[in-house]
Amino acid sequence: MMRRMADPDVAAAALFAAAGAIGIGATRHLPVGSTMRMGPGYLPLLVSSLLVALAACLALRVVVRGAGDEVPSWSLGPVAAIVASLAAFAILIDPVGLVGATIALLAVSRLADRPFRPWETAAVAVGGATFSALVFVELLLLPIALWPA
Amino acid sequence: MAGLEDIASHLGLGLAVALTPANILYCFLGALLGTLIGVLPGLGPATTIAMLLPVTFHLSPIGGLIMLAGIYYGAQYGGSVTSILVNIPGESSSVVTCLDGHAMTRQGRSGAALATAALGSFFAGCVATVLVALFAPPLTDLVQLFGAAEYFALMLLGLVSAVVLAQGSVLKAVLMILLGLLLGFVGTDVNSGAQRLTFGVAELADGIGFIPVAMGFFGIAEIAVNLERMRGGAPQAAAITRLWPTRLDFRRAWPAVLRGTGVGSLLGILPGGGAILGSFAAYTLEKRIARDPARFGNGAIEGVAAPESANNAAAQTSFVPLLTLGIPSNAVMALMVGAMMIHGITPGPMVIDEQPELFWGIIASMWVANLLLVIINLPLVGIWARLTRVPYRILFPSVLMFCAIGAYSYAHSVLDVVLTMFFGLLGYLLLKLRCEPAPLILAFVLGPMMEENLRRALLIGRGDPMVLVTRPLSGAILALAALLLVVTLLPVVRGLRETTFREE
Repeated sequence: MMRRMADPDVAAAALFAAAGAIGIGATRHLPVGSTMRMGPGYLPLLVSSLLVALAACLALRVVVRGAGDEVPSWSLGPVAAIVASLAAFAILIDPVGLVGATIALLAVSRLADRPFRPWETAAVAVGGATFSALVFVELLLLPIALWPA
Repeated sequence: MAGLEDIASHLGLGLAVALTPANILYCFLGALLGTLIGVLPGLGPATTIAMLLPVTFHLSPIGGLIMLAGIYYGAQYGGSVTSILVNIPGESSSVVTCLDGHAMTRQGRSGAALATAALGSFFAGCVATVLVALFAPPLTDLVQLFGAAEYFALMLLGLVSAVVLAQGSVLKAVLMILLGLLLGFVGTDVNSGAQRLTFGVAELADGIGFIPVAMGFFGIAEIAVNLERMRGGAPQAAAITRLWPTRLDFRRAWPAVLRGTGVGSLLGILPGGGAILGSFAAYTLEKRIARDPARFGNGAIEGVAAPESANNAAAQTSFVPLLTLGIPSNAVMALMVGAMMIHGITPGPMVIDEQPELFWGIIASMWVANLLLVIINLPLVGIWARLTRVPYRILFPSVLMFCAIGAYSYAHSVLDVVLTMFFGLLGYLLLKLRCEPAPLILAFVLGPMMEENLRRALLIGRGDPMVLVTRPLSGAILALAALLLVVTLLPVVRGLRETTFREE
């Protein structure tokens, strides 16, 4: 049973079914209308229901066929560092400006790499921030604040 | 088909647009930047375009699109360099190039392989440009006959083709399409003004931006997966040898280039076609007709010449359905639709009449971009080779930075950065679970158009869904889509499809 739960298809089915369930939940209150005059809820409900139904098929297929031999190997460190670096950028960009936000993004993203190399990270962060300030703001004239207002 | 004088005058108009100094500069910058990013291991054309989209926002629509097209061709060439030298394909269309291209590198013939790829692509690009000019106008005339039902049917055919061409499970590809459609529904309903799936977030009233979806699925997710695989190190790239192919190479390569160009041009036009299908089919064809098939995989120059010509030809002709019908046939073209909309252009049959400079300018610039690529690449190939050795731990933070700044700068929206992060995470999970992002992106772009056309068709047909089937043209297209889906599910074809994608 555990092997079956680890099958990538079961996880994928759960993901799709969750998306379908969210879709149904969020569009349930919208008018469905008729085929001639479709309401705003008609197609979203249809698509969400199909998602749930076909996700069930995907999961059932694993039960019938047995677990696949391929279980993906997960190493969550890199993806966690990437998500954290984008979060840092999103939090900092408005209050701190481009320079601070890119330095934070670059420094945090380097946590994805083992072993952590502090000097190289500092060089990448400073170099990247300088590059983006010059290219995006000075050269391409994007109206982004460089420093805290 | 258009008369010869028409073609000459159209291409003349296009060249007049494409050859202004500013547009040559954009085209050059696009091709250069595209190659620069595309050559980096693990970054394919879709990622490159998604990353560089924001750079083109501030240009005029023509300049911006010319630059994007340049980026696309450049990225594709860059991907070939990486395939040949390092054996890491940036995307599925250069997978087959790895087989014989990298084998040639191991034999010390990397220079010949690179030159063949560049020259074959250039030749294919020239032919495909003329073909696009030839077929686009009559197709737009045909499209005038299209009603809402036909549009809907054609887009459905596009989605079905995306399912057929996706790697792995058909069921998963269908699920990815449904998820893409669902994401496309987010925002204000055009007909009733109702808020759908916005979860009370005011900024989502205009729908989910195209940029966060594209960057998340093609930029962030790709990096996360690559990072696990490469663990920050640099791949070993071989040095480049003598650039010019030998006379024997030439004699073997040119017929393959011709066949590749033919196969690629044809497959590029089909919905769901494009570079991937073209290069696979061209390689398979070469192997079939070769006198000694055992040479393939061991450094046969035809195995580089044919797929490289085919993917370039297909890259170009896949603009035909986009420019005439407004329907993207693959993920890269879906990115182009997004870019055109950002520039205020709705792709479709109106463009050719209303904005002939734009239409013909883009087509002419395809040829210019191909010429520039040969000029840039033959002398600079040594630099590109060195770039393939940039360690991934330096590369990936820079790509993240590009994506974050790009996502933010489009609308000064922190939400867009958050969405990019979210779709990056979702895309990573889906990639790990063996669900390809291409069908999702296509469905996300096509979804809103499909809904509008379906509603209109059913309104005209008084609510009877049979209207989609009884109109001859739309019925025929739907029948084709159904046939395609059924054929894919047949056990025989399924086995074939699996072996094709597992490449040889």
